[in-house]
Amino acid sequence: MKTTPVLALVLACTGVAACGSAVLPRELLSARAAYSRAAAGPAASLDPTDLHTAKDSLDAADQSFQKDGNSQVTRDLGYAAERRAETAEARARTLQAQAETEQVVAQMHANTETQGKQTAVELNRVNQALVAQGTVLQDEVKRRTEAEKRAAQAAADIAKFASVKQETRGMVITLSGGVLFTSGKSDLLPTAQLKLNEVATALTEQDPDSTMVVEGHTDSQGKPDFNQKLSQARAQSVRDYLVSRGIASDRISAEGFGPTRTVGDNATAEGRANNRRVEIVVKPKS
Amino acid sequence: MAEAEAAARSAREVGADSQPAAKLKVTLADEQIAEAKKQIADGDNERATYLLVRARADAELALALAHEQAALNDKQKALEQSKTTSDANTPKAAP
Repeated sequence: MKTTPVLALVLACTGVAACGSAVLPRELLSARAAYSRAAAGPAASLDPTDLHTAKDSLDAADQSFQKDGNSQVTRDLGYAAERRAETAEARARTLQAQAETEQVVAQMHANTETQGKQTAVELNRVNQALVAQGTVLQDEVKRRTEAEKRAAQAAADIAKFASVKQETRGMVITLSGGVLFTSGKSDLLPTAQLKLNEVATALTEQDPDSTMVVEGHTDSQGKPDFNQKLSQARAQSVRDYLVSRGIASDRISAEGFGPTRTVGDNATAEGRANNRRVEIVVKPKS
Repeated sequence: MAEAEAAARSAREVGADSQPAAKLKVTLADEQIAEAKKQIADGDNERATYLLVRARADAELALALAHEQAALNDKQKALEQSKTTSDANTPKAAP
């Protein structure tokens, strides 16, 4: 159809007039913008229900505009539609914040649980170590108690055949020469070995760190040289036997004094018997 | 009208008055509800109806904003608590 210039002018003027009467109200423009923003944001996935409500409100405002143009009702509906879109956005942000909070709390619980498990493992390890340590201590206490009992028993046994005195040079165990040796000899009698066994037991249990000197002594009868050698040989004999019974060789030495250190009167038989002796001097740990 | 008033009341209950944007919206809702009552008294029910549409939309937006603020506060608290827990569980370096 061909349009005459006059008709075109009329149509154009009509169009201008229509546009002029259909200027979009600010409320509707704002509502459309708000809805577009909400639909492009997290509300589309997180809060589609409220977004749908906003769309319905916007459609109602649009329809009012179509029907009544820039009327008060259109402006009211546009105003409400903008708020609906903003409401959808706010609710989406709320849901997002709540989800993030749940994530933080879940992570915190997971961390606490992991920490708790690690602490339990560590406590268990420490507990086991303490139990083991306690067992070791109990064993040690038991061992010492038993050793002390054995030493006390050995000391009591020694006291039956030897004198035990505490002197400034240490504990002195004195054994009669007649009990240990045949006259003029340095070989131990079999009964002497039994007695020295008890001495060895007492010395190893009682004070494992002490050192000892076995001293040999004779009476004044006979030649001094012989007595000196005899006392040295007897002391050495006792020392070697004690080493064979478990006393460390570096803890014990032997020395002969012959008749030089008397404890009795060499003029009497009893005094001489007392002078013929072996003394074991146990030196306290320095 | 009841719906608009209920929405405004709910918004206040969840703390709309302590959040500036929410407070503004709930104030607007109150004003529009008051205006609607006046219009009803003057016999203009139609105008009152649309004022209440606006009021309800404002009140519901205020409620949503108040909820959002509460959710953000909760998130902040959780983050702070998480940091405190994490700091407490981290072995301190030897001086």
